[in-house]
Parts: sequence; C-alpha cells; structure tokens
Amino acid sequence: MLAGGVAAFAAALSGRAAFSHNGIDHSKEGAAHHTVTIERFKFVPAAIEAKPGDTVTWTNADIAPHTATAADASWDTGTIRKGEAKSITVSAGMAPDYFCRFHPAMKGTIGVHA
Amino acid sequence: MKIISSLLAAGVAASLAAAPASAQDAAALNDLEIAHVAYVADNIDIRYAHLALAISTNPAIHEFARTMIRDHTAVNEQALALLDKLGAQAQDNFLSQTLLENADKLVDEMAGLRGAEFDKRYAENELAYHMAVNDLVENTFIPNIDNGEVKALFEAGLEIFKAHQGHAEMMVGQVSQ
Repeated sequence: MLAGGVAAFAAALSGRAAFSHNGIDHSKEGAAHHTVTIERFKFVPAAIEAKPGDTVTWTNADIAPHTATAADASWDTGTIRKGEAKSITVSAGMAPDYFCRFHPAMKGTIGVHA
Repeated sequence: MKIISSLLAAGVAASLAAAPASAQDAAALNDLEIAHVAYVADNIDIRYAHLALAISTNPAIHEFARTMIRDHTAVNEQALALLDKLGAQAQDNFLSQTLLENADKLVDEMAGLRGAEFDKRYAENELAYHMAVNDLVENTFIPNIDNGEVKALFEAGLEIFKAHQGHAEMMVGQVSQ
C-alpha cells in the first residue's frame, strides 16, 4: 500500500497525470505500477508482464487473508488482510511464479523483461 | 427481516403442530438461526484445527490447520460485525446442537490417534466436513436467507469453504501416499 501511495503521490507532485491501462499506471519515467486484485480466491490478472524497477501491488478483496509468495520463497508480500494492499518492487531475475501460502491452489506469474 | 423472521417462526410453529418432524428441518431455520449454525460450524473447524496443531507433526497438516483457523476466524468476525450492524443476535437451534454433539464425538475419537493415522483421519474429516457444510450452505441456507447482506456474506463464505474443500482434497491425497 505504501509503495502504491508513494508512486501516486510522486505522480501528483510532478504534475504529470498518471494514466492507467489494464491495471498499469505509468506514474513516472520508465517505471510502471501494476495492480493485481485478489478476489474469489484468484489473482486477477493471474499473469502480468513487468520490468525491473516496476512495482506490483496486490489488493485483497476477499474476507480470507492471502499472500503473494514466490514459488521458491525468495520473495513474499506477507499477510494481506481484507481491504489491505501490499507491494513489491520487481527485480531482474526474480522468481516469476508465485502462489498464496495460505491457499496453495491460487497461483500467478510475473514475467520480467528488461 | 424481523417481519419475515416472525412469519418464518409462525410457519415453524404451525408445522410443529401438524408434524413434529418437519420442525427439525434445516430449510425452516430463520436467518438468525442460520447465522448461529454457520458460527458454530466455523468454530468446530477451528477446534479440529487446534487439535491437529497439538497432535500432528506433519508440516503440511500444520499449514492447513493454521489456514482453517485464520479463515474461519475472519468469516466469524465478519458475521459478528454484520449481526452487530443489524442489531441482531444469532439464535441457538437444533442444528447447531446436532453439529456440536457430532463434533464432540469426533474430537474424542481423533484425540486418541497419533502419527499418520491422525493425519489421515483429520484430512478425510476436513474434506467430508467441508463437503457437508458447503452442500448445506449452497442448497439449503443461501436459497432460504431473507436478508440481502446476510446472503452476500454466506455467498462469500461459500467461496472460501469451497477453496478449503479443494485444499482438503489435496491434503487427503498427500497423507494417503
């Protein structure tokens, strides 16, 4: 939530209107902000494409708490409760496949392209 | 909701006079009784999960049990918040009592098991329990709930419990190997 808020604030400060297309905010030069909604036990969208330096924010619309956790456990948002949002910054070579630690049937991917 | 509940209560009373057996019908429960059954059913699964955390040494069982505690607690918090907002209290009923009696027996039985035997019994019961409760919620409770907000909460709950059912199915596969 913090990273998303900071990105939006930065865009507002710079006077450049952030625009959104398919859940992507290009709020500053080069870096994009991707949003994934967790609803009905699914990551929506389940697959996103990102560049190193981009941020990804997951917002939980479910009653049940969820996580977005790398399949190899190399990154983890931690618990995201109902109505909360958590972000990560995309890095080169990061593990693309992720799941919810609490509900392992929920899966998503972040394709990273330089 | 109060008016409809009163009508339902009258209906139950009328059927009680006509045929006592029909009063013991889950479809005849009012919204506040249905809410009570759901609250009890959530707490029963939390109880099973605590038993699993105490007895099992299988990390996958522990992870599953913690998810059951986390999710059922979250649903119960929403249910209590909604009842509070509606200024209503859940009402105890025959089905809540039956569920509790069955759970007592099952906890006694499972508490005597250890190791793989416990894990298998716990996983199988989680699958059977979620299947039974989901069937009740989907086919009996949701079609009979009058209040729109209560119905929406049950629909969201069903989504969660169906995910648990799928997860339990995976667990059964794992512990049976």
